[in-house]
Amino acid sequence: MRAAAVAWLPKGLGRNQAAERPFYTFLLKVASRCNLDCSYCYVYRGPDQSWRHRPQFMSREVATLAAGVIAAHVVEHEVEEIALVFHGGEPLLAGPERLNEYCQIVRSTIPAKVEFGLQTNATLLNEQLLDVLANNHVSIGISLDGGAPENDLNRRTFDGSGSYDLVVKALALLRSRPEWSRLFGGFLAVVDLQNDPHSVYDSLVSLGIRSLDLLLPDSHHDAPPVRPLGDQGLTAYGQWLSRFFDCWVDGGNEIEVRYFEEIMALLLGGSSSLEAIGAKSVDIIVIETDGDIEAVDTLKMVGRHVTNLGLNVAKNSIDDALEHPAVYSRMLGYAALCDTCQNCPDLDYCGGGYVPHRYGHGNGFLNPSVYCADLRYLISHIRTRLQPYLTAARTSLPRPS
Amino acid sequence: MEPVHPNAKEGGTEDDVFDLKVIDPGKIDNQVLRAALERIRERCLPDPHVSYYTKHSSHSRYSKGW
Repeated sequence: MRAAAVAWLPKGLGRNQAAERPFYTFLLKVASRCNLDCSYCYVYRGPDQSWRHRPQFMSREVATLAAGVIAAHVVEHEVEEIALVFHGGEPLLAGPERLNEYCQIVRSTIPAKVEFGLQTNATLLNEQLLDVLANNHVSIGISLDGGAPENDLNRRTFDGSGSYDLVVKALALLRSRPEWSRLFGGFLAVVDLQNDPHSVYDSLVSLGIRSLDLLLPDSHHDAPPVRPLGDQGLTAYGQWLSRFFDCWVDGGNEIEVRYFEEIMALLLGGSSSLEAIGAKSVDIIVIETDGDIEAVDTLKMVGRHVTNLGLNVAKNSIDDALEHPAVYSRMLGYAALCDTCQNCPDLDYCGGGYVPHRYGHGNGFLNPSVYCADLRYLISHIRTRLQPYLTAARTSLPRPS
Repeated sequence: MEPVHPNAKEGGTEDDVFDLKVIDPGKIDNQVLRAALERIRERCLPDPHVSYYTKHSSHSRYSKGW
């Protein structure tokens, strides 16, 4: 089944209703394999097994083609600054020479300021890689789910041992020189209800972080998240996140927890900078190791029928992606959501949640998030906790002139 | 900038409105929330659309490497 058969948006809506705009974030899958075997991985444990047929690494030729189409896109749309994120699989498997070459190709080809990033499990970090990343100003995000008991529950090597000790060793190396240490952006942690939020928070904070982000497990209506039975289970993830929110607010550590700050921003009339929260247009596009262009790589949790756009950098432009409903549906904002979401009082704060979480085989993406009740619980909790602080901090409301 | 908070647009009373424009983070006695609100204001004000692209050009779970 091709993507066109999937309900991405309500009937009657099309590309001409989308607030079309350029892409600013380019996710380059530079390695299609990983050295870890995480139990929840949407790539290797998911239904889209296309990674088996892709090159292990993005070749120089594909990287050059990718940089070329990105360059054409930024010129066409007069984009002055982009973010380019190396991703995998495990991008460090590409090694220092390839990563350095990718950066050079991008810099010499794309006529815009490029902010490089890299999302990694960190276990392969070494001095040579860190020198390359530092020389090219590549910021590093590290996937870690908590302390050893929490992290090693799911994030394991192929021999079954936990990855926590390897990550901590890599962190020590990362922090051993100022020019390396400043590359560290923060942790990305996946929620697991088996873990205690207090323990996860304390463990991550004890590693001396500045910021972290939380991810709900990759799930959708056909593959729903594991929940406890009974009414309490209906909002179990919302309760878990709310407890983590309380740890953060009451913990006294001035770290950034992005997921919560985005919800706070939306509650206060601001905008979200996360694609998982809020209904704003999305400006990210993914390029695989073989040059295939995809809308969102986490759609792999749904299946190949939603990831395969039939586009490749060898024969298509980035603008061609704007013509696919998988892409322009995300530029429709609220209009792309189902009736239930559009009539929900919390719509402004969750925006329907993360796109893959909405999927179900009957209605495609025209469903509330499989985490809808959790999101509403969390939003209510944050609103309640904020209110007394905001009441004390309120200044006069500006009047229209 | 247009009023941005839905409560302001939907006829809520002034007491219902908690808008970034009317919150002074300096008056918040919780250091975590104060720092968070200062970051949010820096990102979203005075114009969320301008600051969004010029200061935070990426907005995914992957942005800035994470």
